[in-house]
Amino acid sequence: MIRAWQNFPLKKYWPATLMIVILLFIPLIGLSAYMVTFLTLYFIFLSMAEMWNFLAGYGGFFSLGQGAFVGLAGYMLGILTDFGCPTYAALIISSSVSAAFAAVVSKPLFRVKGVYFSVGSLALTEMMRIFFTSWRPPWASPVTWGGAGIPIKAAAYITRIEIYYVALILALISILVVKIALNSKIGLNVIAICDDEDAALSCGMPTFRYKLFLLVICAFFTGLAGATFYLYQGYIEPVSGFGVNWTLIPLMATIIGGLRSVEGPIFGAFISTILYLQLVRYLGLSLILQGVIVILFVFLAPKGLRGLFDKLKKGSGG
Amino acid sequence: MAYRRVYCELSWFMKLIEAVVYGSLLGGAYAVIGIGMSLTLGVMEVMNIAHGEIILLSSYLAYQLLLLLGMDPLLSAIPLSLFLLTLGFFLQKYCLSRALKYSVEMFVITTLAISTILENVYLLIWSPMQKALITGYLLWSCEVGGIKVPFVFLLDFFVSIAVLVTLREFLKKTYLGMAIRASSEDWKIAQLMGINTDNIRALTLGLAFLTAGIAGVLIGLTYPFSPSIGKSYMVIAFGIVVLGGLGSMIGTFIGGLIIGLVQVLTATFFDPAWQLFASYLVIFIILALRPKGVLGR
Amino acid sequence: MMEEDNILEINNLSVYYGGLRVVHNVSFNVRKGEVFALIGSNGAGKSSILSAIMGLSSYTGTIKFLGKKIDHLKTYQRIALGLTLAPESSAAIFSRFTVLENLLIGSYLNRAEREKMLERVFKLFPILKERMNQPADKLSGGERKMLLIGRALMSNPKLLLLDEVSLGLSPLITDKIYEACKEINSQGVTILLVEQNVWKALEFANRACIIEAGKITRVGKADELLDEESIRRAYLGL
Repeated sequence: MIRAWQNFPLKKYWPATLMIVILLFIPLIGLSAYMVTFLTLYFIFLSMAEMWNFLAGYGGFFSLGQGAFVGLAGYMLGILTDFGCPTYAALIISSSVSAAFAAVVSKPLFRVKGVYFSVGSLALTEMMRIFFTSWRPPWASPVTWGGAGIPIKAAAYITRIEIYYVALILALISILVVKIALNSKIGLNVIAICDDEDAALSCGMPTFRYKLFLLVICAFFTGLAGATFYLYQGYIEPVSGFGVNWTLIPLMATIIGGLRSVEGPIFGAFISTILYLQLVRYLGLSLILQGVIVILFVFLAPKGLRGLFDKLKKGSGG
Repeated sequence: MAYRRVYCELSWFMKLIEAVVYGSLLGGAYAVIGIGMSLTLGVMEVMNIAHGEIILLSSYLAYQLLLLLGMDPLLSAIPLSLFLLTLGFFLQKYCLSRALKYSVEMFVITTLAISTILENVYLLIWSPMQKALITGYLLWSCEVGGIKVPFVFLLDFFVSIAVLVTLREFLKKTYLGMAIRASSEDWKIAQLMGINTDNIRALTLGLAFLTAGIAGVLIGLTYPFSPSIGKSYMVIAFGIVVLGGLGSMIGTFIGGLIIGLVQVLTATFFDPAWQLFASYLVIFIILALRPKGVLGR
Repeated sequence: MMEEDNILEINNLSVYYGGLRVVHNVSFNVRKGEVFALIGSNGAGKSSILSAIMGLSSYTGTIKFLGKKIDHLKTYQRIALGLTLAPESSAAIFSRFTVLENLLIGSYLNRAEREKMLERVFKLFPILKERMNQPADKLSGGERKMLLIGRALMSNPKLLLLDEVSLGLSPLITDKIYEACKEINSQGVTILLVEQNVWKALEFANRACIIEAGKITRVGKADELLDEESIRRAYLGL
């Protein structure tokens, strides 16, 4: 991993660095509340998309159960801050719980491949949803838990700007982690496993270990993104906390940019955020639109916009 | 004192019998949910994520027909199933086949998108409130050995058996059925027989939709439904395939029975709120325990 | 040679297996009613040619059946024209079907004739009639080969492609099968066969061509090829 860090071509990324600097300072100069919200959500969705792309696009594990990581982290955040845990610590611990959960279910989950994995992950998320709908912890008050969900106490004590910075740093770290991991042993091995696991095994690769790393990294940052989201929202309930929207949003963002591209979700997440914010009161409509967009892309541009550009370039220039 | 104790023990035992009976009957209905999934998985090696929402489509359309035309759901099951057969056929032939040719994952993604779209469309049209197919004969029940058996449960069970038996005969005795079985075993060799495997895949999805149509009416008569239940149906269908194996009617039936039993036993002896969770847990454990690749075949 | 006499015309055929070219610009014709053999050692590319004719592999070049190009046709469309293949691998039977069901599915496109076709197959391979209702995976290697050929015959083909009839079989069974194939040919079915057993192939065939590393090295009448020194030395160990 360290060698990969040293190879990181900082010079090439000056426009990105400029962008980052702007994003870092602009709230201090003055930004409308809407823009702060927009960017916060954008960073959260971007980070989820990068992670899902890492797991599905590069690793070949089309998880449909991202909701498990998001909801679990969200609920942990609620529980921890309820008991007085400091917010930032709670964020880290919640994400770690998601990561630990991933580690626990990885053994059974990775026993199956392909479609079985996808539906298995969905089944797992559904189980979580039912669990958090039906379970009432001993400290639960009569109006919380169950279908009504729980409030996130920490949300009341944190400003929008603070959440903005948390989300920004989260997005940056997510992109960095994916980029570095892809250039390191983990990433290369994971891609090799995706292409042909049997060949990898016959070369002596301990494939399970790398699949585990992949899932745990994905779970940690997806959980962190989810916890950040619920910090922003202030409450969590089981239906949307463990819902399929946490898979559909990163999926759509990734498909727009094209699977197996780190830059792709950067654009795709914009669309996700626009759709989400504009139709937040009609969440259903936003999801319908995202579903339609996914289908359109599957049929018209399965390699994403990047694939389209390549095709157009070949058509006109080549 | 002694009388009371005898009464309580008998009651516990009766509760068990009752649970077993209900669970088995319900399991029969579940088998119809699962058979569609088993077919698509066997022939096309993919799962339709929107399977549950297709079942719900049938339930909601039957609901509308009942509301607007007073049409009995059992009667409307016929046109609904035929409509879904056609829908599934053309959806696969002209739409999903292109996704499948690209990759299995694209098919899954597309059906996931369809599933999300349908679920939210149902939310918009019919709201999250639970609906049910209410008919006069829902109140009927008969007494067998001291247990009250609702008519719907018997209906579920016997219709399910009828569907599975008919399907089995179709697959075994007709040329189309043989073509489906051949394609599921080896689609390249099936092509060598002159079988148009594209059409066979379309027919398979059509059949899966047809059974979903029947299941939608059966389940709609048995339990209330709402848009969010679609996911549960899909997970149950998946579970039935995991438990019962692919391509075997008996296996599917047993898979349905197991899930039905687990559910009702949990509801009776533990807590009704956890019944679905219990079945999911069983499904997940079996999924984890069965060795790689030996899922049915 | 009149073109109408050719049931199959292969022109500049190159077959690709996963992006790799395994057959290079092969051309030959098969005349109606004859037995034509493709012989060569293992891996020479013979089976790939059959695969391309059936549309199961990607290829470049032209294939004409009964004078018409078939390159745009899918596999199942080619079967409808009267082409059929008995594959090499004994795994190509439908192991979850019975012997009878295997045969019946062979007549998928000509169901009306199935009784007649069954009779014909049972006459050629009586053992299949004996084992009619047994699951196909219970058959021995030789019986599976017979089932594959029988199944291919059920569609009443004009051209039968045979892939490695003798592979893995004892000389006795091989002889039996070749006897049946002679009978099939005398019933008017043109046969294109791929064989590693050069002796048996040249005995049975009218004409043959030798394939080495994906290219044709010799074409000619079978008995002439049998007499040739170089061939006897290379393939027959004489």
